[in-house]
Amino acid sequence: MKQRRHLWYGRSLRPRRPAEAERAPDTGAPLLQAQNLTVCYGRAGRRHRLAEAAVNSASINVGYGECLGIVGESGSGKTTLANCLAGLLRPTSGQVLFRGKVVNEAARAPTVPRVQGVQIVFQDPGSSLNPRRTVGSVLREILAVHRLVPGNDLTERVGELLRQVGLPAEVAGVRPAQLSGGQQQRVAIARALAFSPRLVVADEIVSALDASVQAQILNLLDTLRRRLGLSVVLITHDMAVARQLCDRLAVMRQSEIVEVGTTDSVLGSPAHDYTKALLAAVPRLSAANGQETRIPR
Amino acid sequence: MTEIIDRIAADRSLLGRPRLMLRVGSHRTSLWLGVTIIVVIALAGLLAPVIARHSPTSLNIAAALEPPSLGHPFGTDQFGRDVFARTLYAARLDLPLALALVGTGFTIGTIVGVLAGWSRGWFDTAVTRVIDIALAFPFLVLVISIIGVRGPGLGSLYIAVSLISWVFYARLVRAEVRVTMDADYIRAALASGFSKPRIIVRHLAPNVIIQPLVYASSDCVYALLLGATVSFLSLGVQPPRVEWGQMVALGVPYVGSQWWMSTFPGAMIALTGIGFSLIADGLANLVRTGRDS
Amino acid sequence: MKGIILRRLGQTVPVLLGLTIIAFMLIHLTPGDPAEGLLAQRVTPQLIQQVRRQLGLNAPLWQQYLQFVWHVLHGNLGYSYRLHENVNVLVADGLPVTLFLVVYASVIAAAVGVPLSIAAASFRDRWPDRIIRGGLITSFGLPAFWVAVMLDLIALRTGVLPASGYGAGFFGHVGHLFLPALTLSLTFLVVLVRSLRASLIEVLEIDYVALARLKGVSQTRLLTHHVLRNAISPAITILGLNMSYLLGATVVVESVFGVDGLGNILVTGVLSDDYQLVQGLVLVFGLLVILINLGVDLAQGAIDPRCRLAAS
Repeated sequence: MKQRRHLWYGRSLRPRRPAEAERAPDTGAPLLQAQNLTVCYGRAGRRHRLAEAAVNSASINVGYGECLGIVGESGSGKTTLANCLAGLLRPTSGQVLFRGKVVNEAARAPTVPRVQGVQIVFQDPGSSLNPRRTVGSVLREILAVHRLVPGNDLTERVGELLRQVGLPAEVAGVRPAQLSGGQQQRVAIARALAFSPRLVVADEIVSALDASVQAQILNLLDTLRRRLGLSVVLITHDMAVARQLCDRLAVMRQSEIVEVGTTDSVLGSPAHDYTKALLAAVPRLSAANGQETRIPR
Repeated sequence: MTEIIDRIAADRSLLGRPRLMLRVGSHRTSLWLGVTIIVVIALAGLLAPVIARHSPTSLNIAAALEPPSLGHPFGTDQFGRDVFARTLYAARLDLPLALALVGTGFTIGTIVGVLAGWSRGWFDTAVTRVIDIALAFPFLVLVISIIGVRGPGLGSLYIAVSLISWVFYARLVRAEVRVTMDADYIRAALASGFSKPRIIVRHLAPNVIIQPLVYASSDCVYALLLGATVSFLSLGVQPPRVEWGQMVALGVPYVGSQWWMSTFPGAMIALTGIGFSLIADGLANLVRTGRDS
Repeated sequence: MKGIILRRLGQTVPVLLGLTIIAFMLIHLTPGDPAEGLLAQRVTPQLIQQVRRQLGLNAPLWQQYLQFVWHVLHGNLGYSYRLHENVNVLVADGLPVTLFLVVYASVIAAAVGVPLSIAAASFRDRWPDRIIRGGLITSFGLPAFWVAVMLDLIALRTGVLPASGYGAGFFGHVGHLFLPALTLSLTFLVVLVRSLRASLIEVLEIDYVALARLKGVSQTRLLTHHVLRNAISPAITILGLNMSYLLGATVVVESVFGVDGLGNILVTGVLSDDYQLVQGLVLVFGLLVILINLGVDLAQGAIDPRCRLAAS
């Protein structure tokens, strides 16, 4: 397998999705919709000041089978938005819709479907797996509790999931501490896939890994997406990663989404000043103009 | 993918490693030594009617204050009772008492600690306040005062300990819960659609309970000493029931000349305490090496 | 710095409040009537009513509590019906004795414990360390009251040291309180050596110590200058944290050796159902623990600049 090391230079040859998020044939609604999401930390009763919001009036759509990237610096609110989309966090106002139905809003506890719904893969592979459980028991518990597979087929399905993410079936008897970071992240992906999700939120899933392993995991994610018809929301601060995998991009800055569009248009001809500055700040191997660009705060 | 197969092939122990990683080392010896001591003492207590040739309570003034001899290995007390028999029978009280006291504190403290750490709301704040306040008093002072107010006896001891000892466990468990919840795997369990009780019992508890269990093992020493000390002060086990601390107290007025009355029961407490202490040390080392690897 | 002191004092207030609440609730834990318990043997209904009125026991609970706090703030800790004396007088008599004992025990523990910790940390896992750790495990399981009785026994048999009482003058105190202080220090020694050994091992592994070694500093000089100074701070913390346990142990030690400190007075009070005395003493003990912890925290802030930064 050719190592994709030069991510910045490599142009992906995959066909790009149309400018609008692909909609379901029957209802015409995108798979996941976030409408005016605002998340403020602090006591619920207090009138929230927009300046303190972690996420401020974010609206974004994710279509069927597409990969949406959310890029931004640390502290821009990407992870908060990701947790909201995945139903782990309730917004202070606004709502999230899945297949046209409201699944997360301020007034009620989130009701995001887990099986054949939305799943999430976290950034830190070591801490997202229970250190006292073997890989196999984690996967088996999911399959058993949600009755996804009849009891006799549990072991077989676990092996299948592991093979899908490029791990041998013997890993099922192993504890997370005995695996490398990349392997742990593969297990985390397998755990997400156990639910046969329609959408996977990948929150900085390669940021904690070595560069060579990053490429492997990203390739795996891309392969799985195409093979299983998944939608992916890829959160990252790395432009190169977004460029390789995503069909559409949203740029976040200080809790707001400042630009949305297809990857080519956002990266090729950025509309917003911030996007331009972000792109200019990425280190290039060839000295272009040698000028320093400061990112506006 | 080949890398992990190579690793598995090269290190077959990777898959077959037992759960607690019992390795040869000093912690193993101290652990087994401690267990042996406790088991021997427990057996001695259980088999007391068989081993002791005299009754622990029958008076025999004619044979009072006799030094240790073949007939009375530990001598007799001021009422002519056989100290050896009394020591053995007292084991039936002291050992279960220590374990019961620890169990009470552990159970209440763990439940409160888990709820407090999980909820993080007003309950958590309230619990923290109560813990801070309870820790401001010397434990023995509070226990003695509560017993004093309610009247001496085992019942008062239980009440006093149940009211206070949970605090130490709750503090520990709460801290562990917060550390655990910082990690992502609890959130991952939530994202897996598991119910909260299931997550608390099957995901949170196994990780959170290790440190409290280690503490509980050393708490056995404290509990044993507490029961003995309180009985020594005549506030705990009342006659005619026999208890080691109580026996030491009975021998104090005679300690200059009839040294055996206080020495042997106290030595039994010390021996049991050392047994628990060895277990505690072994467990602590076991858990520590498990975490380091 | 002043801000930190104020904030720390502020944190103490709710705990002090809780202290008074618990001390107050103590009397109301009695299974029977508090007034009945306070009186001597012969009770008549009229006497009980009289005492109830005197103590304000007929008022609602919260009112009694406020009255209690009011009394405490004015230095009135109650009246001991058995010893026929105001509680605060008894406290004033017993407090210096107990404090002397506690300080004495701490000094012994430090004098013995610090060298032991250094030895254990330097010879880690070799035979000195193993022996010391074995000694720690053994001492941990020893009951303080039994050790006290055994030492008493030895004192009586050999007649070398006085076996009881407080003695007169500073050196009288030192002589009479040697055995009690020794017993007390044993309980503290175990915790001290364990924690100090662990801190020292940590410090010995820090890079700058390795750097000093590379520079050619001798082992002894290394220990005394670099390591000890960094070990003082945790040692003080350990002392503060265990003050509560130490004060509790004085109860037993004073009782066995016949020392008239707060602990002995507490035992007397408890055995004679002297509820007001017990209540007042519980309050005093709690106050002592809080004050000592406060002192330790502030001393830490003064010695270790990292604590100051962490607190601000």
